[in-house]
Amino acid sequence: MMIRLVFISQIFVTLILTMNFSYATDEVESALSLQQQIDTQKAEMIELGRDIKVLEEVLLYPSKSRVSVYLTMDVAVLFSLEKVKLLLNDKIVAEHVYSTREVRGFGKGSSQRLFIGNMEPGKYKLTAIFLGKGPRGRPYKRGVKGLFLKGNDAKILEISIEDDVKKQQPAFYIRDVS
Amino acid sequence: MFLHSAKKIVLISLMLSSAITSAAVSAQSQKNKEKELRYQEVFYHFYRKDAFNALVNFNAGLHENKLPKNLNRNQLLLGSMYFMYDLDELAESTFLQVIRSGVEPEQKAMAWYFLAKIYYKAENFRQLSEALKKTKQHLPESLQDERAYILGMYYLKLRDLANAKSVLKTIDKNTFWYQMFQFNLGASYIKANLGDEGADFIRDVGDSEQASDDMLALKDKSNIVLGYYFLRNKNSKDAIDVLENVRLSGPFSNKALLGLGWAYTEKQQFRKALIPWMALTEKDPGQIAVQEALLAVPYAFMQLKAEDKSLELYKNSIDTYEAVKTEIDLSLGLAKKSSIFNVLLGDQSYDDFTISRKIIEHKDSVEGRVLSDLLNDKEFQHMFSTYRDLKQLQSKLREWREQLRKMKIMLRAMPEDAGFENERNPRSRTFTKDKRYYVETVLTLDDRVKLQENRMTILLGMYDSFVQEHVVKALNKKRQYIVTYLSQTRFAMAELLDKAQRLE
Repeated sequence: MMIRLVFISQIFVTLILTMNFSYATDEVESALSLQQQIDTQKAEMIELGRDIKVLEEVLLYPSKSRVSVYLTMDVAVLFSLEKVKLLLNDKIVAEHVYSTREVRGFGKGSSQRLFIGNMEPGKYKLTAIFLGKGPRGRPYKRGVKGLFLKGNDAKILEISIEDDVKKQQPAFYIRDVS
Repeated sequence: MFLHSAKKIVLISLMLSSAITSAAVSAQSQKNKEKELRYQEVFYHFYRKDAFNALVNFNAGLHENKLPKNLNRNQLLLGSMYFMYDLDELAESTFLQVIRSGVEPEQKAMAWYFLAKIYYKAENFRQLSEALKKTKQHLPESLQDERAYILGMYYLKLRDLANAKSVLKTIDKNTFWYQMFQFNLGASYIKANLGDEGADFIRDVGDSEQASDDMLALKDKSNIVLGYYFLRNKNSKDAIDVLENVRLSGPFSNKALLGLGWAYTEKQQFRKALIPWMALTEKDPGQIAVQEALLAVPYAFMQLKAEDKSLELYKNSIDTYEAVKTEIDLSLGLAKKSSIFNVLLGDQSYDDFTISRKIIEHKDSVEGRVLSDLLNDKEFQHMFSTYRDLKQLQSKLREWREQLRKMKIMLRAMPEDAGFENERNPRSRTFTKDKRYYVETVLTLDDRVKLQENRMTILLGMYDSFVQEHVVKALNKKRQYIVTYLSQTRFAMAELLDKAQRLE
C-alpha cells in the first residue's frame, strides 16, 4: 500500500510540475509568428486610428461649429462619482456610468471628453447631473447649470468637480475654456 | 515570476501622474487649456486600461500638434504606452530614440529602465545587463527597489546565487519587491539543492506581517512551497506548521489541505489526515487536488481498518470521477468545434462588464465551467486578454467604417469649391486643402479599414484555432489524469475485495 501512496503522491507532484504547459519547439515558433502578426495588426490599427481621428475633427466636427465638453476632478475626496448625465437645452446628449478605475483616473488628473458635437452660433443651456456618494458615503445627487454663447469658433467647456473644504461639500463648476 | 500587469500599470502611472502635474503647471494660460484637456484625456483611456484608445488619442494629438509640447516627455509616455499594450518592439525603438536624442540624465535613466523591463521580459540578458547599468544613477528613488528586484532576478536567471543574495540587502525591507524577491531567491536556493538556506528565505516571507492582498497571496504561496519542500524531505512536523498558515479562502487552499493530509499520513496519523482531505472532497471535483483527495480519503479509512467504509468511498469516488470524465468529454466536444472564448462570447462586446456577466450567466453550463477553470491558468489569461484585444479592434473597425460612411455623405453634400480648415491650426483659417483631397483621403482610409477587416478576420480565425488547440490539449490532459485516478481507484477496490475474500 505504501508503494501506491508514493505513486499517488508522485501523480500530484507531476501535476504541480506540469501546470505550465510546455510546447514543442515548432509550436513555440508558430506561436511567435502568430504573436508577430498580432503585433503588426495592433500597430497598423493605431496608425489607422490616428489618421481617422485627425480627419474626424476636420470633417465631422469643424472648429466653427464644434462644441466639446470635458469632465475633470480636482481632489474630490468629498464626492465619489458613479454616474453623470449631460443635457444641452434640456436634451440628454451624454450619459456615463463610471468604473472604479475611471474614478481613480480622475483622481490622478485625467479628463474625459463627455461630449463632442456641432452647434449653430447662439445661446445654449448646459446642465450636468451627478450621482454618487457624498460626504460620509451618503447617496448624493447634484446638478450644475450654465449658459454659454456659441460663436464662430470652437467652444470648449470644462465641468469640474472639486472639494469645498470650508463647507465640507463637493462643488461643481462649468467653465468656458475656449 | 515577473511583474504582473497591475505592477506594470502602477509603474507607468507613477510616471504619467508626474507628467500630468508638470503639464498642468506649464499650461496655465487659457490658450493652452485645450491642449491640457486633450493630454489628460489620453490618461482617461490609460487609467481605464484602454491602451489602444490612449495610444490613438496620443498619436493623433501629437500629429495635430494639439498636445503640450515636450518632445522627450511625450516620447517617454508613448514608449510606456506601447509597453503597456505589449507592443514591445515599438516601445523599444521609442525609448532608444529618447536616449539618442540627448535628453536630460533623469529621462535617459527612465528610458533605460523601461528598456531593462522589455529585455527582461524577452529574456535578452546581455542587453538587460547593459540597460540596468545605465539606470544605476538618476533613476527616481521610488523606482530603485523595483530596479534592484529586476537586477536580482537577472542574477537568478544566470544562477548566480551569491550576487542575487547581495541584491536582497539593497532592497527596502518594507516593500513588496523585497518580499517577492526573497521568495524567488529562496525558491532558487531550493532548486539548487541548498534547501535549508532557501527555506529560511521563504519562511521569512511566510512570516511577514504585511497584509495587502498581494502580500497575503505571496505568503500563502511561500507556505505552500515550504510545506511541500518539508514533505519531500519527510519533515512532516514543519510541513504541518507552515501549511496550517495558508488561508482557507485563498487560491492555494486546496494544495494546503492536500499537503496537510499527506503530512499527517507520513506521521501515520490517519484520523488527522482525514480532516483536511474530507474537507477537500466537499469542493469542486473538477479540481486536481480534490480528485486526489477522493482517492486519499478511502485509502486513509483502509489504514484505519475501516474496510467497508473505504470500499463505499472508493465506489463513490469512481462515480464522481466518471461524472467529471463525462463533463470533460462534453467540454472536449465543444472545444473541438470552436475556441471556448468564441463559444461563450461570440461577437459580443468584450468589455469587462459583459465578460463578467456572461461568465456568471453561464456558470452552470459546461462552457462556463470550462472557461472559468481555464482562466485560473496564467497562460489562458494571457490568451484571453489577446483574444479580447483582437475582438475590440474588430469592433473598432466596424465603428470606423461607419464614421467614414458619414464623412463620405458629408463630402458628397458639399459644393465642389468648399474650403477646409487646416487641421493642424484651425485658428489660422488657411484653407490649404480642397474637397478632392478629402474625398481621396476618405476613400484611402476606407480601403485601409477594409484591408484591416479582412486581415482581422483571418487573424481571429488563426487565433481561435490556436486557443482551441491549447484548450483541447489542456482538457485531454485533465482527462488523462481522471483516467489514471479511475484505474487507481478500481485497482485499490479490487485489492480490498480480494483481501475480504481471502479473510472469508
